[in-house]
Amino acid sequence: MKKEAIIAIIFGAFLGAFLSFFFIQKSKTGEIEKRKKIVPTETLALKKKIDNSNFQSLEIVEPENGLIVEKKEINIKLRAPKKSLLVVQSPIKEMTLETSQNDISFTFPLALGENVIRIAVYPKNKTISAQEKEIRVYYLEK
Amino acid sequence: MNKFSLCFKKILLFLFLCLLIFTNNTLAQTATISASQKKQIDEFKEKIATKVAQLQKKTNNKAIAGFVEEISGNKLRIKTADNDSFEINVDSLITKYYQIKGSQMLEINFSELKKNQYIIASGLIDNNKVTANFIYLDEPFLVMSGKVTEVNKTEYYLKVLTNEKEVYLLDIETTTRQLILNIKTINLEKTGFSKIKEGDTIYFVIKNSKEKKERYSAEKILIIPQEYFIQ
Repeated sequence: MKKEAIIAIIFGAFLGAFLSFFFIQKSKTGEIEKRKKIVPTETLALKKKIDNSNFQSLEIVEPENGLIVEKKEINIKLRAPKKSLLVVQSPIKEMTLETSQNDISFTFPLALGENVIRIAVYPKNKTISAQEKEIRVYYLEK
Repeated sequence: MNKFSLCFKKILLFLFLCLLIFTNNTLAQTATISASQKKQIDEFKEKIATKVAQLQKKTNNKAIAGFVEEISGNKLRIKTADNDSFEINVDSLITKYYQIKGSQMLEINFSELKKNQYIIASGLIDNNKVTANFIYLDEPFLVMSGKVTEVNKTEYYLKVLTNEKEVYLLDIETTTRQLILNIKTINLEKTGFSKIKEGDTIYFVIKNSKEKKERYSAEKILIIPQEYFIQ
């Protein structure tokens, strides 16, 4: 092979490598520019936040578990999801009601001694699961 | 020097006499107090006890209940429904014992407390120790909920899978109070065994025992029909 031919092949290889490097870089830059943003927009994120804030878990505000009282009845204060079926069961009394607001308060009778009170809520919104809690209140005359 | 010694002796004698007189006086005084003011001391003790009870009530108005596991001397060990162990210390003078029977309380003695009985202890609760002022012997109840998985119409029992994944067989007796939710009015109505279906949600009350039984006699049941959740 002649000397000129070898030089031409080497130059050709260098040019090929240079061109391929140039096109690869160019296509990468174009791809980044064309790529879509997948981060939620601010409005969407805010809306999602508002939706979460509407969720209310079942909380027994009053009475405290294990409390001793000297009366035949007790005032129960709850926080529960709106538009839910509320079920309260104890050995002496049971009641059901539909919640119209988050804060619920009602009077509940007690038997002498230990009172196991089971409270459950079934939200109408089926995406929120049912919740249940139990408290023990002691009506003890002294 | 001799004069000084005589004077010193006189002072010593005077001091000795003073000591003798005061000691006698004090002893006499003690004797008088113990005889005449015993009633006042008792009243004072009573007042202190009442004040202590009031302060305890303010700071620790809670009770602990559980099955008696062990009785030794002036101590009891109980296990609560949450499987927590509590040591109950009793005092022969302070602690009072009662038995709850329906709507009445009868005073009993410490000797009447037995293993496996259900007691409520009130007093000063510190971690897992209770210094009991009062101990009440009570009948324990269990309030549970779950799904009806079987309705046995020949033996009149319900198989229930609770939310805690426990299985209970409930005998529905003629005395069992049976209620069902009216899904339109959300009121509770009286119902019968024939209206209970597999898949219904159930709330039930049974008498609790230390050991889990195979079957329980249901005191009360409250049914939420499955139709409520489908609508």
